[in-house]
Amino acid sequence: MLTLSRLAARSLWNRRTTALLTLLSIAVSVTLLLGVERVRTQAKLSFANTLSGTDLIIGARTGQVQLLLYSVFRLGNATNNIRWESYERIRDLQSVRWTVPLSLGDSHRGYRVLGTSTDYFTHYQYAGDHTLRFAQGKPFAGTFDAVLGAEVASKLNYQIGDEIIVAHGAGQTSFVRHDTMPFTVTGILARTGTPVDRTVHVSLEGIEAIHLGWEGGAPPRVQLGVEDVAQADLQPQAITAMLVGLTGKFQVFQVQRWVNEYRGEPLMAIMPGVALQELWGLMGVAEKALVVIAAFVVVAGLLGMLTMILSSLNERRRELAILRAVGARPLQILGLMLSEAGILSLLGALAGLLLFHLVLAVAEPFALEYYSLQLQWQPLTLYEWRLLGAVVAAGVLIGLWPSWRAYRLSLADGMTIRV
Amino acid sequence: MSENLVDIQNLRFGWPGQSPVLDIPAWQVAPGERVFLQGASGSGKSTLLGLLSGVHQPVSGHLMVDGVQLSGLKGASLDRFRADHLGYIFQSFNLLPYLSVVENVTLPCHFSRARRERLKSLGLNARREGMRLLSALKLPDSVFDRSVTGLSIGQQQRVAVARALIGRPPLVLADEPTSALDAATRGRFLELLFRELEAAQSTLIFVSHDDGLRQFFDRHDSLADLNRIHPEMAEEL
Repeated sequence: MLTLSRLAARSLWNRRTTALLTLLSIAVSVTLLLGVERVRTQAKLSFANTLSGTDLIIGARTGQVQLLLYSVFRLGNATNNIRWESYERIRDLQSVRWTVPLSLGDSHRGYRVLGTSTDYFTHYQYAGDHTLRFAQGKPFAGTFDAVLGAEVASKLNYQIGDEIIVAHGAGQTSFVRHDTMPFTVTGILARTGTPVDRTVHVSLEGIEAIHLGWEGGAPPRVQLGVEDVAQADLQPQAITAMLVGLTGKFQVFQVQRWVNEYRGEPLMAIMPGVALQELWGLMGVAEKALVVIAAFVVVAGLLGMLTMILSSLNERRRELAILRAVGARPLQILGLMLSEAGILSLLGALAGLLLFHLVLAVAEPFALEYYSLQLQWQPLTLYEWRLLGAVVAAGVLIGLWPSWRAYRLSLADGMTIRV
Repeated sequence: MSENLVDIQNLRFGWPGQSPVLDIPAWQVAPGERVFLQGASGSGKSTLLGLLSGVHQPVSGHLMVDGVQLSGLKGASLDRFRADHLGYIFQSFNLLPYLSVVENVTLPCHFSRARRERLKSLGLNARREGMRLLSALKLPDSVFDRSVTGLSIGQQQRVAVARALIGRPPLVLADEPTSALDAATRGRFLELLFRELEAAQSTLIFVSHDDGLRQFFDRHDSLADLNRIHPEMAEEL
C-alpha cells in the first residue's frame, strides 16, 4: 500500500533533476554549518589546550592578554623584562614548586627562538596532562644546542645535527643575524598542536652568548665568534617571562598577590586559564559571525527548496486534482506536500552529514599541517545532532507555506483539472 | 428512504452572485441503471457532475446519492463520501505519471477505507483486484508494473476505468470519457466498461454531448429536458 510519504517520494523522483539540485544545495549548506561548528569548537578546544598545568605566568607589568600572547603564543613583543634577581626570588618562594624561565626576542626564518631551561621539557603541559615528547634526539645540553618544534623541523626540513643561524628580532627577514654563532639541532619535539610546534628552543646561555657585546640593542663593533664565548660569563641578566608551578591551588592567589606587590620592579602574575578565556572572548565576535553566516547559508538552502516546491505547484495542480478525484482529502494533500519538504530536508541533512565527514577526512591532514588545527574524526556531538534536527524541522516548517497553498488550491480546484 | 441511488428534487444551483444555472425539479436514477445524459457544451453537465460528486454545494433542494444527503454536508464528510461511494472517469485520462499502471489503479483504495473493506469482504486485496480489472479490460500483463507513460491513449483510458471501478463504488460518473477515442475503439471500450460495471454492480451516469453514443445505453436523458433553466440563459464557466 502506498503511504503519503512514499507517494511524495515517487512524485519527487519524477522531478528528480530539480529535486536533486535542491537536495544538493541543502546538503552543501548543512556541510558548511557542521564544518563551521566543528572548526569553531575544535579551535576553541585546541586554544584552551595550549597550556595546562601552569599555575601562574609572570612577566613585566602589562595587560594579561598581552602577557599571554607573547609568553605562550609567541605573538607580539614584551614591553619589559624580568631581572634575573627577581626570577631567583620568585623561584625560591616556599610555595613555588617549579619555574621555567622564558627569554624571547630572536627568531629563525620567521619562527621564534625561545631561550629557556631544560625544565621546560618536563613542566610544560598542554591538552590536560600531556607533556612534551621528543620525536627524535634529546634536550639541549650545550650552549649552542637547539630543540625544534615539530612544524619548524618539518617545514624547514631540518634533521638532527643540522646547523641553524639565529636572527636578531622577530621578523621574517631580519638584517642582523648571529652568523658567527650557529646552533646545532639536538632534538625535535613531537607535534603538540600548540605554538610549541613553531618554536626553536635553546638554552638561556645560548641567548646570552649570541648577544655578547651587544649594548642597547646594537650589535658589537667587532663580531664575536664561538671562541670568544668560552671565556665569557653567560649568566643571564634578564628574562622575558616565566611559567610557575605551585605546591597547591590555594597558593595561587597568595603568590599572585606577592608578585603584583613586588617592590623590586613592576611585575604581574596571571592565571593562564583566566587569561585564555579573556583572549578567546576577544575572538568571540568572529566566532559568532561565522555561526551566523553558516546559519544564513542554511536558510538560503531551505529557501531554494521553498522556491522549488512553490514553482512546481502550478504544474502540479493537475496531479493534485487527480489525487483529489481518487479520494484524497485536502488535508492529505497538505500532508503530501509536507512529506515532500520533509523528505528533501531530511535527505539533504543526511547528504550534508556524509559530505561533512568526507570533507573532514580530506581536510584533516591539511588543517593540522597548515593551521595546527586538530580535526579528528569523532561522532557527532549532541549539539551537532540538534543542529541537524533543527535544519530538518526548519525545512518542514518552511514546507508549510507551499503545503498550505496546495491545500487552498486543491480546495478551490476540487477535481476540476485546470491548466 | 428512497430506493433510488440518485434522488434529486427541486435542486437549484448557481454561482455566488450570478443567476442560477441549474434548476432540476426531479430526477431519479435506480441502482444498476446506466444513464446516458446528453447535453450540449455549456448546458451545465459539468456542474451537475460537480453536484453529484460533492464538489459543489446546491443552493437549495434535495440531493441524495447512495443514501447520503449531500446538500448540507461539509468539506471532510463530502471528501469521505466521494472517496467511498464514487468512481470518476475523466475526459482526459488522468493518470499519475510517476506511478506504475497497477499503482494508479489501486490509488483510490489508499484513500478509502470503505473500498478496502468491500474488497476484503470479497476476499480480495487491492493489488490482486487491480490486476484482475486490468486483465478484464484487456490490458496485457506485461504493462502492469510499467510506467503509464508508455501506454496508448486507449490503454490509458482503460486504466482510468479500472481505477474508477476498484473497490466497487456504487456510483460511477463518467465525463466524456470517449472523446479522445476513435469510433472503433469507442464501442469496444463501452462494452468492456459495461461488463465491469455489471460485475461491480455499479450504477453509471455517463455524460456526453455526442448523441451517437446513446445506442449503447438503456436509458437516455437530456439535460435540456431536466433543467428548467434554458442553456442560453445560463453561461457555464
